[in-house]
Amino acid sequence: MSRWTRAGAAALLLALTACMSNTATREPVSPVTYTAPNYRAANSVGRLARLAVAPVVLHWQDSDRREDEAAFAAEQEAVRAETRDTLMAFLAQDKGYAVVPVVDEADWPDDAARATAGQRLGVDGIVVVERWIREPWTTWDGLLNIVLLNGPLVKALTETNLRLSIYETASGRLVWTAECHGWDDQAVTEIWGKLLVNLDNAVPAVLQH
Amino acid sequence: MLPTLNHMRVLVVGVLAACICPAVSVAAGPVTFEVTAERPERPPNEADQWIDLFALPGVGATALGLAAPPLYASGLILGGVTLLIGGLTMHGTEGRHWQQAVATLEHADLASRLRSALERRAATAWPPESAPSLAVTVTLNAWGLVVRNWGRVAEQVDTACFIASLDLVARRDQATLLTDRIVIGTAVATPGAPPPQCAKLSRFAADDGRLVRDTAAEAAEVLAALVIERLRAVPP
Repeated sequence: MSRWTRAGAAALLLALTACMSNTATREPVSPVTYTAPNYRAANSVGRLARLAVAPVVLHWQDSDRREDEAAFAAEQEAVRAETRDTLMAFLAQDKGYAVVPVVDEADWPDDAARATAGQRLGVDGIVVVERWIREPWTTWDGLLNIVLLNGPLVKALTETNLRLSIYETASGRLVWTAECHGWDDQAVTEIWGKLLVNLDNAVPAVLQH
Repeated sequence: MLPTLNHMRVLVVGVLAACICPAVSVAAGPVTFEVTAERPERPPNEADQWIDLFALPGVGATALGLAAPPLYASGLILGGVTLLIGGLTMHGTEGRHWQQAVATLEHADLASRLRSALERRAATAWPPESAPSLAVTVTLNAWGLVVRNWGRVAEQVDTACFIASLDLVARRDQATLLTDRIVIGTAVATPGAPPPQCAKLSRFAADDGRLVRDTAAEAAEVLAALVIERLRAVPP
Protein backbone atom coordinates (compact mmCIF):
# COMPACT_ATOMS: atom_id res chain seq x y z
CA MET A 1 0.00 0.00 0.00
CA SER A 2 1.47 3.32 -1.02
CA ARG A 3 2.07 6.19 1.36
CA TRP A 4 -0.70 8.23 -0.23
CA THR A 5 -3.17 5.37 0.05
CA ARG A 6 -2.35 4.97 3.72
CA ALA A 7 -2.68 8.71 4.28
CA GLY A 8 -6.05 8.70 2.52
CA ALA A 9 -7.27 5.75 4.57
CA ALA A 10 -6.13 7.47 7.78
CA ALA A 11 -7.91 10.68 6.79
CA LEU A 12 -11.09 8.78 5.99
CA LEU A 13 -10.90 6.89 9.29
CA LEU A 14 -10.37 10.16 11.14
CA ALA A 15 -13.41 11.64 9.42
CA LEU A 16 -15.55 8.63 10.23
CA THR A 17 -14.50 8.67 13.86
CA ALA A 18 -15.12 12.38 14.36
CA CYS A 19 -15.10 13.58 17.95
CA MET A 20 -13.37 10.42 19.03
CA SER A 21 -9.80 11.46 19.69
CA ASN A 22 -8.69 12.10 23.23
CA THR A 23 -5.38 11.72 25.01
CA ALA A 24 -4.63 11.50 28.72
CA THR A 25 -1.37 11.87 30.57
CA ARG A 26 0.36 8.79 31.96
CA GLU A 27 1.99 10.88 34.68
CA PRO A 28 0.39 11.17 38.14
CA VAL A 29 -2.26 13.86 38.48
CA SER A 30 -2.50 15.78 41.75
CA PRO A 31 -5.31 17.88 43.23
CA VAL A 32 -4.48 20.93 45.33
CA THR A 33 -7.80 21.66 47.05
CA TYR A 34 -8.15 18.43 49.06
CA THR A 35 -5.90 15.71 50.40
CA ALA A 36 -8.29 12.84 51.22
CA PRO A 37 -7.31 9.47 49.79
CA ASN A 38 -9.31 8.27 46.79
CA TYR A 39 -9.72 5.12 44.79
CA ARG A 40 -8.43 6.21 41.41
CA ALA A 41 -5.50 5.40 39.19
CA ALA A 42 -2.66 7.85 39.80
CA ASN A 43 -3.15 9.43 36.39
CA SER A 44 -6.95 9.77 36.60
CA VAL A 45 -8.04 13.28 35.63
CA GLY A 46 -11.04 12.80 37.92
CA ARG A 47 -8.72 13.61 40.82
CA LEU A 48 -9.00 17.23 39.67
CA ALA A 49 -12.46 17.55 41.19
CA ARG A 50 -12.68 21.35 41.04
CA LEU A 51 -12.23 22.93 37.64
CA ALA A 52 -12.22 26.48 36.34
CA VAL A 53 -13.49 26.95 32.80
CA ALA A 54 -11.71 29.69 30.86
CA PRO A 55 -13.49 31.90 28.34
CA VAL A 56 -13.93 30.05 25.05
CA VAL A 57 -11.36 30.89 22.38
CA LEU A 58 -13.12 31.35 19.03
CA HIS A 59 -11.48 31.03 15.63
CA TRP A 60 -14.07 32.40 13.24
CA GLN A 61 -13.64 32.05 9.50
CA ASP A 62 -13.65 35.33 7.58
CA SER A 63 -17.20 36.37 6.95
CA ASP A 64 -19.25 39.16 5.45
CA ARG A 65 -20.73 39.59 8.90
CA ARG A 66 -17.51 41.29 9.97
CA GLU A 67 -18.76 44.37 8.13
CA ASP A 68 -21.15 44.92 11.03
CA GLU A 69 -18.67 44.80 13.89
CA ALA A 70 -21.23 45.20 16.66
CA ALA A 71 -23.53 42.46 15.41
CA PHE A 72 -20.58 40.16 14.75
CA ALA A 73 -19.19 40.73 18.24
CA ALA A 74 -22.59 40.01 19.76
CA GLU A 75 -22.86 36.79 17.75
CA GLN A 76 -19.41 35.70 18.84
CA GLU A 77 -20.24 36.40 22.47
CA ALA A 78 -23.44 34.36 22.19
CA VAL A 79 -21.50 31.39 20.80
CA ARG A 80 -18.87 31.74 23.53
CA ALA A 81 -21.53 31.85 26.24
CA GLU A 82 -23.49 28.89 24.86
CA THR A 83 -20.34 26.80 24.51
CA ARG A 84 -19.15 27.50 28.03
CA ASP A 85 -22.53 27.26 29.73
CA THR A 86 -23.35 23.89 28.18
CA LEU A 87 -19.86 22.60 28.97
CA MET A 88 -20.11 23.65 32.60
CA ALA A 89 -23.54 22.04 32.92
CA PHE A 90 -22.25 18.79 31.39
CA LEU A 91 -19.17 18.67 33.61
CA ALA A 92 -21.25 19.30 36.72
CA GLN A 93 -24.28 17.09 36.02
CA ASP A 94 -22.83 14.23 34.00
CA LYS A 95 -19.27 14.06 35.32
CA GLY A 96 -19.66 15.37 38.86
CA TYR A 97 -17.10 18.19 38.72
CA ALA A 98 -17.38 21.38 40.72
CA VAL A 99 -16.95 24.05 38.07
CA VAL A 100 -16.46 27.79 38.21
CA PRO A 101 -16.11 30.21 35.30
CA VAL A 102 -12.96 32.26 34.85
CA VAL A 103 -14.24 35.82 34.76
CA ASP A 104 -11.05 37.58 33.71
CA GLU A 105 -9.54 37.34 30.28
CA ALA A 106 -7.46 34.16 30.30
CA ASP A 107 -4.06 34.48 28.71
CA TRP A 108 -1.59 32.09 30.25
CA PRO A 109 1.64 31.82 28.27
CA ASP A 110 3.19 28.89 30.14
CA ASP A 111 2.72 26.21 32.79
CA ALA A 112 3.81 28.50 35.62
CA ALA A 113 1.20 31.10 34.69
CA ARG A 114 -1.54 28.46 34.58
CA ALA A 115 -0.44 27.04 37.94
CA THR A 116 -0.54 30.52 39.48
CA ALA A 117 -3.98 31.18 37.98
CA GLY A 118 -5.30 27.86 39.28
CA GLN A 119 -4.02 28.58 42.78
CA ARG A 120 -5.60 32.03 42.70
CA LEU A 121 -8.93 30.56 41.59
CA GLY A 122 -8.81 27.80 44.21
CA VAL A 123 -9.26 24.96 41.72
CA ASP A 124 -7.49 21.70 40.89
CA GLY A 125 -7.40 22.34 37.17
CA ILE A 126 -8.24 24.71 34.35
CA VAL A 127 -10.30 23.88 31.26
CA VAL A 128 -9.49 25.67 28.02
CA VAL A 129 -11.84 25.33 25.03
CA GLU A 130 -11.05 26.36 21.47
CA ARG A 131 -13.75 26.35 18.82
CA TRP A 132 -13.45 26.86 15.08
CA ILE A 133 -16.51 28.24 13.30
CA ARG A 134 -16.58 27.84 9.52
CA GLU A 135 -19.10 29.13 7.06
CA PRO A 136 -21.30 26.60 5.21
CA TRP A 137 -20.15 25.74 1.70
CA THR A 138 -21.36 27.88 -1.15
CA THR A 139 -22.13 26.64 -4.65
CA TRP A 140 -18.72 27.89 -5.69
CA ASP A 141 -17.08 25.80 -2.94
CA GLY A 142 -18.96 22.74 -4.19
CA LEU A 143 -17.84 23.28 -7.76
CA LEU A 144 -14.28 23.85 -6.61
CA ASN A 145 -14.44 20.61 -4.67
CA ILE A 146 -15.35 18.72 -7.85
CA VAL A 147 -12.51 20.32 -9.78
CA LEU A 148 -10.04 19.52 -6.99
CA LEU A 149 -11.16 15.88 -6.81
CA ASN A 150 -12.70 16.04 -3.31
CA GLY A 151 -9.57 17.50 -1.77
CA PRO A 152 -11.49 20.30 0.01
CA LEU A 153 -14.04 17.76 1.27
CA VAL A 154 -11.37 15.55 2.85
CA LYS A 155 -9.73 18.63 4.33
CA ALA A 156 -13.05 19.78 5.80
CA LEU A 157 -13.74 16.34 7.27
CA THR A 158 -10.39 16.16 9.01
CA GLU A 159 -10.09 19.72 10.31
CA THR A 160 -10.38 20.28 14.03
CA ASN A 161 -13.49 22.21 15.00
CA LEU A 162 -13.40 21.82 18.77
CA ARG A 163 -10.59 21.21 21.23
CA LEU A 164 -10.84 20.88 25.00
CA SER A 165 -7.73 20.87 27.17
CA ILE A 166 -7.42 20.33 30.92
CA TYR A 167 -4.37 21.65 32.77
CA GLU A 168 -3.62 20.69 36.37
CA THR A 169 -3.00 23.47 38.84
CA ALA A 170 -0.26 21.62 40.71
CA SER A 171 2.15 21.76 37.77
CA GLY A 172 0.35 23.81 35.14
CA ARG A 173 0.89 21.09 32.55
CA LEU A 174 -1.59 19.61 30.10
CA VAL A 175 -3.11 16.38 31.46
CA TRP A 176 -6.09 15.65 29.18
CA THR A 177 -7.17 16.80 25.77
CA ALA A 178 -9.88 15.88 23.29
CA GLU A 179 -10.57 17.05 19.77
CA CYS A 180 -13.59 16.96 17.51
CA HIS A 181 -13.06 16.78 13.75
CA GLY A 182 -15.35 17.09 10.77
CA TRP A 183 -18.53 19.00 10.19
CA ASP A 184 -19.63 21.43 12.85
CA ASP A 185 -23.29 20.70 12.32
CA GLN A 186 -24.19 19.29 15.71
CA ALA A 187 -25.71 21.17 18.60
CA VAL A 188 -22.94 21.89 21.06
CA THR A 189 -24.92 20.14 23.84
CA GLU A 190 -24.70 16.87 21.90
CA ILE A 191 -21.01 17.31 21.20
CA TRP A 192 -19.97 17.26 24.87
CA GLY A 193 -21.46 13.81 25.38
CA LYS A 194 -19.30 12.43 22.58
CA LEU A 195 -16.18 14.49 23.14
CA LEU A 196 -16.00 13.86 26.88
CA VAL A 197 -17.41 10.32 26.99
CA ASN A 198 -14.10 8.88 28.20
CA LEU A 199 -13.36 11.62 30.72
CA ASP A 200 -13.21 10.14 34.21
CA ASN A 201 -15.83 11.38 36.65
CA ALA A 202 -14.66 13.68 39.40
CA VAL A 203 -13.83 12.17 42.76
CA PRO A 204 -17.22 12.48 44.54
CA ALA A 205 -17.56 15.30 47.06
CA VAL A 206 -18.51 12.78 49.76
CA LEU A 207 -15.02 11.25 49.48
CA GLN A 208 -13.09 14.51 49.50
CA HIS A 209 -13.15 14.95 53.27
CA MET B 1 -37.81 11.29 34.11
CA LEU B 2 -39.63 8.04 33.41
CA PRO B 3 -37.51 4.89 33.67
CA THR B 4 -36.56 3.38 30.34
CA LEU B 5 -37.16 -0.22 29.38
CA ASN B 6 -33.57 -1.05 30.18
CA HIS B 7 -33.83 0.33 33.69
CA MET B 8 -37.09 -1.49 34.26
CA ARG B 9 -35.26 -4.64 33.20
CA VAL B 10 -32.48 -3.89 35.65
CA LEU B 11 -34.93 -3.44 38.47
CA VAL B 12 -36.99 -6.51 37.59
CA VAL B 13 -33.88 -8.65 37.31
CA GLY B 14 -32.63 -7.20 40.55
CA VAL B 15 -35.81 -8.14 42.36
CA LEU B 16 -36.39 -11.55 40.84
CA ALA B 17 -32.93 -12.99 40.41
CA ALA B 18 -31.68 -15.36 43.05
CA CYS B 19 -29.01 -13.98 45.33
CA ILE B 20 -25.70 -15.73 44.83
CA CYS B 21 -23.86 -14.02 47.68
CA PRO B 22 -24.30 -15.42 51.17
CA ALA B 23 -25.51 -12.88 53.69
CA VAL B 24 -22.75 -11.95 56.08
CA SER B 25 -23.26 -10.05 59.31
CA VAL B 26 -20.53 -7.83 60.62
CA ALA B 27 -20.60 -6.23 64.01
CA ALA B 28 -19.42 -2.64 64.28
CA GLY B 29 -20.06 -1.98 67.93
CA PRO B 30 -23.81 -2.24 68.46
CA VAL B 31 -24.49 -1.62 64.76
CA THR B 32 -24.61 -4.81 62.70
CA PHE B 33 -24.67 -4.99 58.93
CA GLU B 34 -26.06 -7.66 56.66
CA VAL B 35 -25.10 -7.13 53.03
CA THR B 36 -26.47 -9.12 50.11
CA ALA B 37 -26.06 -8.56 46.40
CA GLU B 38 -27.38 -9.73 43.09
CA ARG B 39 -25.18 -10.75 40.20
CA PRO B 40 -23.70 -7.77 38.35
CA GLU B 41 -25.50 -6.34 35.35
CA ARG B 42 -23.64 -6.98 32.10
CA PRO B 43 -23.91 -4.81 29.01
CA PRO B 44 -25.10 -6.61 25.86
CA ASN B 45 -22.34 -7.93 23.64
CA GLU B 46 -22.79 -5.93 20.44
CA ALA B 47 -19.74 -7.34 18.67
CA ASP B 48 -21.86 -9.55 16.41
CA GLN B 49 -23.34 -6.48 14.73
CA TRP B 50 -20.04 -6.10 12.83
CA ILE B 51 -20.54 -9.53 11.32
CA ASP B 52 -24.07 -8.67 10.24
CA LEU B 53 -23.29 -5.18 8.99
CA PHE B 54 -19.95 -5.68 7.28
CA ALA B 55 -18.54 -9.21 7.20
CA LEU B 56 -21.60 -10.95 5.73
CA PRO B 57 -22.19 -8.28 3.06
CA GLY B 58 -18.46 -8.57 2.35
CA VAL B 59 -18.79 -12.29 1.75
CA GLY B 60 -21.77 -11.64 -0.48
CA ALA B 61 -19.98 -8.98 -2.53
CA THR B 62 -16.91 -11.18 -2.92
CA ALA B 63 -18.99 -14.12 -4.09
CA LEU B 64 -20.84 -11.87 -6.51
CA GLY B 65 -17.52 -10.53 -7.79
CA LEU B 66 -16.28 -14.04 -8.57
CA ALA B 67 -19.25 -14.56 -10.89
CA ALA B 68 -19.45 -11.01 -12.26
CA PRO B 69 -18.12 -9.79 -15.61
CA PRO B 70 -14.51 -8.53 -15.49
CA LEU B 71 -15.61 -4.90 -15.58
CA TYR B 72 -17.27 -5.24 -12.15
CA ALA B 73 -15.33 -8.15 -10.68
CA SER B 74 -12.34 -6.26 -9.30
CA GLY B 75 -14.45 -3.62 -7.55
CA LEU B 76 -16.79 -6.17 -5.98
CA ILE B 77 -13.98 -8.45 -4.85
CA LEU B 78 -11.82 -5.63 -3.47
CA GLY B 79 -14.79 -4.01 -1.74
CA GLY B 80 -16.05 -7.33 -0.42
CA VAL B 81 -12.70 -8.37 1.00
CA THR B 82 -12.27 -4.94 2.60
CA LEU B 83 -15.68 -5.20 4.25
CA LEU B 84 -14.94 -8.76 5.38
CA ILE B 85 -11.59 -7.89 6.94
CA GLY B 86 -12.95 -4.71 8.54
CA GLY B 87 -15.99 -6.48 9.96
CA LEU B 88 -13.97 -9.36 11.40
CA THR B 89 -11.42 -6.97 12.90
CA MET B 90 -14.06 -4.84 14.61
CA HIS B 91 -15.89 -7.98 15.77
CA GLY B 92 -12.73 -9.28 17.40
CA THR B 93 -11.78 -5.95 18.96
CA GLU B 94 -15.19 -5.20 20.45
CA GLY B 95 -15.57 -8.79 21.61
CA ARG B 96 -12.28 -8.56 23.53
CA HIS B 97 -13.31 -5.28 25.14
CA TRP B 98 -16.63 -6.76 26.21
CA GLN B 99 -15.02 -9.90 27.64
CA GLN B 100 -12.41 -7.93 29.60
CA ALA B 101 -14.98 -5.52 31.05
CA VAL B 102 -17.39 -8.31 32.01
CA ALA B 103 -14.67 -10.53 33.48
CA THR B 104 -13.43 -7.67 35.66
CA LEU B 105 -16.99 -6.92 36.70
CA GLU B 106 -17.58 -10.52 37.76
CA HIS B 107 -14.56 -10.32 40.07
CA ALA B 108 -15.34 -6.85 41.43
CA ASP B 109 -17.31 -8.27 44.42
CA LEU B 110 -19.09 -5.06 45.30
CA ALA B 111 -20.82 -6.71 48.28
CA SER B 112 -17.56 -7.47 50.08
CA ARG B 113 -16.18 -4.03 49.32
CA LEU B 114 -19.36 -2.41 50.61
CA ARG B 115 -19.35 -4.54 53.74
CA SER B 116 -15.75 -3.57 54.51
CA ALA B 117 -16.45 0.10 53.88
CA LEU B 118 -19.54 0.05 56.10
CA GLU B 119 -17.64 -1.63 58.92
CA ARG B 120 -14.75 0.82 58.70
CA ARG B 121 -16.93 3.93 58.48
CA ALA B 122 -19.36 2.78 61.21
CA ALA B 123 -16.46 2.26 63.60
CA THR B 124 -15.72 5.99 63.52
CA ALA B 125 -19.18 7.42 62.82
CA TRP B 126 -20.35 7.50 66.45
CA PRO B 127 -18.54 7.92 69.76
CA PRO B 128 -18.17 4.42 71.26
CA GLU B 129 -20.40 5.20 74.23
CA SER B 130 -23.26 6.66 72.15
CA ALA B 131 -23.41 4.33 69.14
CA PRO B 132 -27.02 3.29 68.49
CA SER B 133 -28.18 -0.28 68.57
CA LEU B 134 -29.18 -1.08 65.01
CA ALA B 135 -29.53 -4.11 62.78
CA VAL B 136 -28.96 -2.85 59.27
CA THR B 137 -29.83 -4.80 56.15
CA VAL B 138 -28.32 -3.61 52.89
CA THR B 139 -29.49 -5.22 49.63
CA LEU B 140 -27.64 -4.36 46.44
CA ASN B 141 -30.59 -4.94 44.15
CA ALA B 142 -28.85 -3.84 40.95
CA TRP B 143 -25.27 -2.98 40.09
CA GLY B 144 -22.91 -3.28 37.18
CA LEU B 145 -22.56 -1.93 33.67
CA VAL B 146 -25.63 -0.92 31.68
CA VAL B 147 -25.91 0.65 28.25
CA ARG B 148 -26.37 4.37 28.28
CA ASN B 149 -29.60 5.40 26.61
CA TRP B 150 -30.85 8.47 28.32
CA GLY B 151 -31.07 12.23 28.27
CA ARG B 152 -29.29 14.49 25.86
CA VAL B 153 -26.97 11.91 24.36
CA ALA B 154 -28.40 9.53 21.81
CA GLU B 155 -27.88 5.85 22.52
CA GLN B 156 -24.37 4.68 21.87
CA VAL B 157 -24.30 0.91 21.97
CA ASP B 158 -20.69 0.66 23.11
CA THR B 159 -21.06 3.28 25.83
CA ALA B 160 -21.78 1.87 29.26
CA CYS B 161 -22.40 3.29 32.71
CA PHE B 162 -21.54 1.79 36.10
CA ILE B 163 -24.73 1.90 38.19
CA ALA B 164 -25.51 0.74 41.71
CA SER B 165 -28.75 0.65 43.66
CA LEU B 166 -29.30 -0.54 47.21
CA ASP B 167 -32.19 -0.86 49.62
CA LEU B 168 -31.48 0.01 53.21
CA VAL B 169 -33.47 -1.18 56.23
CA ALA B 170 -32.52 -0.34 59.81
CA ARG B 171 -34.27 -2.14 62.68
CA ARG B 172 -34.13 -2.06 66.45
CA ASP B 173 -35.98 -4.62 68.55
CA GLN B 174 -37.95 -5.81 65.52
CA ALA B 175 -39.16 -2.26 64.86
CA THR B 176 -38.26 -0.79 61.49
CA LEU B 177 -36.79 2.67 62.02
CA LEU B 178 -35.56 3.48 58.54
CA THR B 179 -36.10 2.29 54.99
CA ASP B 180 -34.46 4.01 52.08
CA ARG B 181 -33.14 3.43 48.60
CA ILE B 182 -29.83 4.86 47.41
CA VAL B 183 -29.16 4.94 43.67
CA ILE B 184 -26.15 5.85 41.57
CA GLY B 185 -27.90 5.68 38.22
CA THR B 186 -28.49 7.20 34.84
CA ALA B 187 -32.23 7.79 35.00
CA VAL B 188 -32.73 7.99 38.73
CA ALA B 189 -30.19 9.31 41.21
CA THR B 190 -30.27 9.92 44.93
CA PRO B 191 -29.60 13.50 46.03
CA GLY B 192 -25.99 13.65 47.16
CA ALA B 193 -24.98 10.68 45.04
CA PRO B 194 -22.48 11.31 42.24
CA PRO B 195 -23.41 10.71 38.58
CA PRO B 196 -22.55 7.24 37.28
CA GLN B 197 -19.21 6.74 35.56
CA CYS B 198 -19.94 6.39 31.85
CA ALA B 199 -17.39 5.58 29.17
CA LYS B 200 -16.80 3.51 26.09
CA LEU B 201 -16.45 -0.20 26.80
CA SER B 202 -12.92 0.04 25.45
CA ARG B 203 -12.12 2.57 28.20
CA PHE B 204 -13.60 0.30 30.87
CA ALA B 205 -11.60 -2.62 29.49
CA ALA B 206 -8.26 -0.81 29.19
CA ASP B 207 -5.38 -1.73 31.53
CA ASP B 208 -6.99 -5.07 32.46
CA GLY B 209 -10.28 -3.45 33.43
CA ARG B 210 -8.74 -0.76 35.61
CA LEU B 211 -11.68 1.62 35.36
CA VAL B 212 -14.15 -1.12 36.33
CA ARG B 213 -12.11 -1.98 39.43
CA ASP B 214 -11.58 1.66 40.44
CA THR B 215 -15.24 2.54 39.89
CA ALA B 216 -16.44 -0.45 41.93
CA ALA B 217 -14.09 0.45 44.78
CA GLU B 218 -15.25 4.04 44.72
CA ALA B 219 -18.94 3.11 44.46
CA ALA B 220 -18.61 0.95 47.58
CA GLU B 221 -17.12 3.87 49.51
CA VAL B 222 -19.73 6.34 48.26
CA LEU B 223 -22.62 4.00 49.08
CA ALA B 224 -21.18 3.28 52.51
CA ALA B 225 -20.78 7.00 53.22
CA LEU B 226 -24.37 7.68 52.18
CA VAL B 227 -25.69 4.75 54.26
CA ILE B 228 -23.84 5.93 57.35
CA GLU B 229 -25.10 9.47 56.73
CA ARG B 230 -28.67 8.18 56.83
CA LEU B 231 -28.08 5.98 59.88
CA ARG B 232 -26.70 8.94 61.77
CA ALA B 233 -30.10 10.60 61.40
CA VAL B 234 -31.80 7.70 63.20
CA PRO B 235 -32.59 8.61 66.83
CA PRO B 236 -30.31 6.74 69.26
